[in-house]
This record gives sequence, C-alpha cells and structure tokens, in this order.
Amino acid sequence: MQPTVAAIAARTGLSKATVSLAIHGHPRISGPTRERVVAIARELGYNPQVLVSACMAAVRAGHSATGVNKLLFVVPDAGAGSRQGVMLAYAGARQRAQERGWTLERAILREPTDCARLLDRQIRREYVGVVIAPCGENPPELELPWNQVASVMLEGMPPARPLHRVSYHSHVDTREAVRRLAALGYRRPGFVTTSFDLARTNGTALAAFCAMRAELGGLGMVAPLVAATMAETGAIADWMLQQRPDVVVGENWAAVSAAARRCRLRIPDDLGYIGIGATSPPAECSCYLRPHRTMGATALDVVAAQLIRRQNDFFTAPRLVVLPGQWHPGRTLPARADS
Amino acid sequence: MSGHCSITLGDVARHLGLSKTTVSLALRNDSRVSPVTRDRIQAAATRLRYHIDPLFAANVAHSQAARPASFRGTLAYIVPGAGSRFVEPQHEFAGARERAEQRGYRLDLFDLNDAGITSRRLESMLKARGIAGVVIAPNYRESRPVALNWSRYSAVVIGPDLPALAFDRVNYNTYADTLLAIAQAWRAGYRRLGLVIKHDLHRRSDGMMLAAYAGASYLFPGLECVPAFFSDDPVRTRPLDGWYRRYRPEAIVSQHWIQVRAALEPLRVSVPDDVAFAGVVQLPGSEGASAVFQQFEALGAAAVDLAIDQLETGVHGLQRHPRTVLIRGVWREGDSLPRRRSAVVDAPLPLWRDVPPGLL
Repeated sequence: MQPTVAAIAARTGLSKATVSLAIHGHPRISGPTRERVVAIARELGYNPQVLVSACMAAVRAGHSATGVNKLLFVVPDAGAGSRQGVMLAYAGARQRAQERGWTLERAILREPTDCARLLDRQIRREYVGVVIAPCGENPPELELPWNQVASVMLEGMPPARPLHRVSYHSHVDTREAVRRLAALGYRRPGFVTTSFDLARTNGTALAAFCAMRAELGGLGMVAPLVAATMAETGAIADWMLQQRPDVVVGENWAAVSAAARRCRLRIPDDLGYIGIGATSPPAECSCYLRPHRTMGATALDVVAAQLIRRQNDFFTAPRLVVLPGQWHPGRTLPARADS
Repeated sequence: MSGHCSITLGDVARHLGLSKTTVSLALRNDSRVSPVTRDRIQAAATRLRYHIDPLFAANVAHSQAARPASFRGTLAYIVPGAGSRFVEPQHEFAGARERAEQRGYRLDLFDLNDAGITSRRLESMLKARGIAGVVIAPNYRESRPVALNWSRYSAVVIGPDLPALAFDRVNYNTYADTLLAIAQAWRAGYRRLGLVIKHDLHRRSDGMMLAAYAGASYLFPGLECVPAFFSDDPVRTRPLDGWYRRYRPEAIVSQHWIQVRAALEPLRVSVPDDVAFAGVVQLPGSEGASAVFQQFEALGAAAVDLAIDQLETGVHGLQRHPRTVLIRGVWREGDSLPRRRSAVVDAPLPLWRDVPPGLL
C-alpha cells in the first residue's frame, strides 16, 4: 500500500507542502532536504504518481488535462550510430504511442548543454516518460530526474545506471545462423565484428558463434576478427586471405563485401555471407534483420506499463527485454555444391 | 493526437447495440461473455480504434493504490506436468502472489502433476472461475505441453519450458549470470576454469551458459577455459574422473553444486581444497556455494506484471512478437571459492569494449 504524503511528513517532521514540493523536485526546497525526503519516501515505498501529477499540474495552471500524457524519444547524439535504425525505432514507438492514445515527441541532443536544458525545461514540465535511443560509442551521461519520469533505454552501450532496457537478442539469431550454414555444407565459418558491436551486445553474438561452432563439431577453427572500425576493409581482407573462411558471419555487409572485393573473392561463389542484426541490407544479403520497429514499440510499452502501474522500480529490479530478429533469405548463402 | 482517445466505451457499445457493461467485460475476456460475442466486440473495438485512455487508467490505478487494492480478478499459476513434480513451486510462486495481491488479484495454483488434473479439466476450472490471466511456472524438467485454448488467455511463461508457446516470457539471464560467476572466479585468482553442464540444461538455456563460457576467454585476461564437460543426469564419478584428470581445472563453473561435489568425493578431490567452485544456481537449495543465485521472487513478480498488463490492455492469445524479459541473479559469497594469493578482488571487471581489436 502506498504511504500518503502525510505519513512522509510525519516521519520527516516537515509540513505536507514541503514534502510534496521536495518529492517533485521543486527548486524552493534545498538540495539536502530534497534528498532526505526522497530517501525516506522511497524507504516507505512511495512512488510519485507521475501521470496524476502532470494532470493536476495542468488543471491547476488552468490548462486542459488532455495531452499531458506526453512521452519523449531522446536521441542522445546527432552523429554516430545507425541513424536509420533510430528512425525505424522511433517510427515503431510512435505508432504504438498512437495506438495507445499517447503523444510521442522527439528530441535530438546535439550539444552536451542540451542535456541540462532538457532536464530543466522540457522533461520535468512536459513529459512523463522517456525512451532513450541508442547512441554512438561515447554515450553522454544523461542526468534525468530518474525518480520522476518513467524511462527505458533502447539497445546502445550498457548504461551506467540500472535502467530498464529493450535490446536485440543476437544470441538466438547467431546460434541459428551457425546451424543454418553448417546444414548448407559450409565448413570454415568466420566471425567478424567491431569493438563497438562487441561492446554494445555484451559479446553475445561472438560468444554464441564460438559456442555453437564447438557444439556442432566438424567446423574449422577460424579465429574471429575484431576490427577497430568497419572502415578497416584492409584488416578484414587480410583476415580473409590468412584464415580462409568459406562463409562469414558478420554484423556489417558493406565492410565485408568491400573486403571480399579487395581480395578478389566473389560473394557468394567463393565466400558465403550471413548477417546478424542488419538494419537495411541490400536485397541479396542473407541476414537476420534487427527488429528496430518492434524494439521501439516495446520500449513504449515498457514506459507505459511503468506509468500505469505506477512502478518506478528500476533501481531495484531493472529488466532486460530481448527480441529476436527476422530471417531475410537473400542470395549470399547458397547451399555448397559439395555438401 | 488526442483524437485517438476520443472513442469511448459508450461509442463502441452504441455501435454494436450492446450495453457498456457487456463491452467492458468482453474487452477484458471475462467468461460471462460468450466467445462469439467477445470476438465480435473485440474486432469492433479494434476497428473503431478504441483504446483505454492512459490518463484514465492512471487515475483509476492511483485511486486504487491509495487504499488496499480492491479485488479485480483471479489469475492462474500453472505448473506444467513432467511425470513427477521436481521441486515445490514455492519461490517464484511467492513473488508472483505478492505482486498479484498488490495489484488486486488473487493467484490460484494449479499443478498438472497432481492426480486428475488434465489440460481439459484445467480448462473447465479456469472457465468456471472466470480466469483469463495465466502464468506458467518453471518445472526444471522437460515439460509436457499444456493444451489450453490459448486464444482465450493473457499468458506469460516463466523459464525456458514449453519453447513452442509464443508468449511473453520471463527468464533467467543465464549468459550474464555465467559471465558473473566466471568474473568472480577470475577475481579470486583462478585462471584455469572447467564447465560442467548437463545436456538438458544446456538445451534449456539455449546454449547461453556455454556461450558465456566460450566468450569469457576473450574477455578476461589470462583466463583459460578447458573444453566443457557435458554430463548426463545425474553427474557421475566415472566420466567426470577422466575429464578432471585430463584438464585439471583450478575451479569448476557449474549449476550442480551438490552433484559435482558428490561425484568428486570418491576421487578424493575435495571442494574447495583441491578444486574451487563458482556456481550459477537455478534451483533453490545450494547453500554454502559461492554462486549466482536467482531472484526467484523477482521472476514471479515480473511474470505477474506482464500478465496483468496484457489483461488490462486486452492483449491475449499467442503473440506475433513475443518478448523475453531477462532477470539477472545476484552473487553470494559462500566458502567454495576462497581467494588465492593472486586474487585481484578490487580490480575493475574487464569490459567487452576494452577487448583490443585484432584476431581473437
């Protein structure tokens, strides 16, 4: 059962008005007092009721209460990462928001100072929930009022805070990929990734590849390659010539196909290819598609569920929601003639 | 945007020529409305783009949370059949029941291992009690299929059982848990590890434990992972003996604390004096082991949350995009993994982002 503001006031020896202002982060209350009140409120099991607060604030200010159920889709940097993937995730989240009767708006952070502005002006006043989109290699330290907005993170680097996350289940797709290529007669599968992909998937695709190769047996032991970036086609080409894989399991078609051209290997005649978590591959590329849209929609659901059931429990039990990709047959993984 | 909220329950009822009560019950899959009518109403609601107003739902939730939750319905907690019951379904059930009660639901337990409870009988019991929300419990064994008419239910599965059912699922994060157990062994100074895993658990974890083990040698500097030992059930001395003598691991990573110790005993190999043990526990009752223990209650609570969310937003039947919620275990220090002189207990754990580029 929720403790009342009165109960928190009694416990802290402060007035109800002070407690209420402190819980909602009002600047009139000093930092230490605010922290003390929030700590006691949390200890007593109090969760701020974000939606109702927003509604009441709108009513008190003389506005209509409709449209206060606004969520924000934050894109933490304008440069790196897969722009297209972020757009697809946003489209998925937006569609789900519409289905549910919520409003989803988008903010792209271009400068570090944007974070502070968002914190102060926008999120606190206008939005009840936040979806944080994946970002590049160096995610900015977002300082959001975590105890006041419902939040979820989409893919990206493992966050410093224990947030709810929605991510791609590369483990199951990679296992399936190795099973598939072995069944088609390939015997020397190689794995190419980048430092970035390795980090953001917590090594799952690489680990699943190695484990499945060992489990199936009879497959050549090609050393996996971690490229510093996918622009390093030279390193990938050297690896192809040195390790002689007959099929590549990769996370970037453009880089692998460019490397193959460089060492005059024809895909798929000389070398097969199977992609893991591709975003928008050309039609010929055989791969598992990253479920960006579904991830976006799921992220929206996670935020909405937190708001509706007024749980703000990510500090104690962060949940990781994973979704598998979808198989796109393509033409880069034909059965081997000698199989 | 606000136009999406403008279709009310009354609009749907008027459109169909039915009462608001009937429409409301049908959207919540209440058994008092016949399946034919229910499907007709749900189809109409979808067509008219009727959705529960989130603000309204929040206000309702708010007023209900301010006092003890009023009774909103009953959920079923179903233990699938596996020939015999393996463990008492108490831990996940306790967490599930607590969360259900917080949200105003009663949680009834149905155990298909009990005599006389078939899927068919279960179906009629659920119908009689007006139950539309279902949590399927883990059974720690290969389960027999549960044959219900799934299109009627909002269902969530706990654990890896019944993989053919495309429902939202709450599962152990076996990959992260195994990496954590390996990290603790590495920090305690062990550099040569051996994995002991049973075939069925390997299958049931979808290879996640083996994957973490295979990947760990790239992540932890100086770590050697010897070929894994795949065991039948139970772990027996004879085959384990050959593996142990051949590879001489300094520490064993496994789920089977009691069985591994018992199998090593006839060889006069004692834990932790001769070989240390870092566990990943998915069953209650491994006291004394240094291991990652599952937060069974959290799994149960998460499953109930998902089931109620589905129920209250009118989602039921098999899912087109089923989600899996992974919940990590927590490390508890026992006495099976004493620190060696080379321990680096305070060292930060290596991260995948620090793995240097190049050939692995």
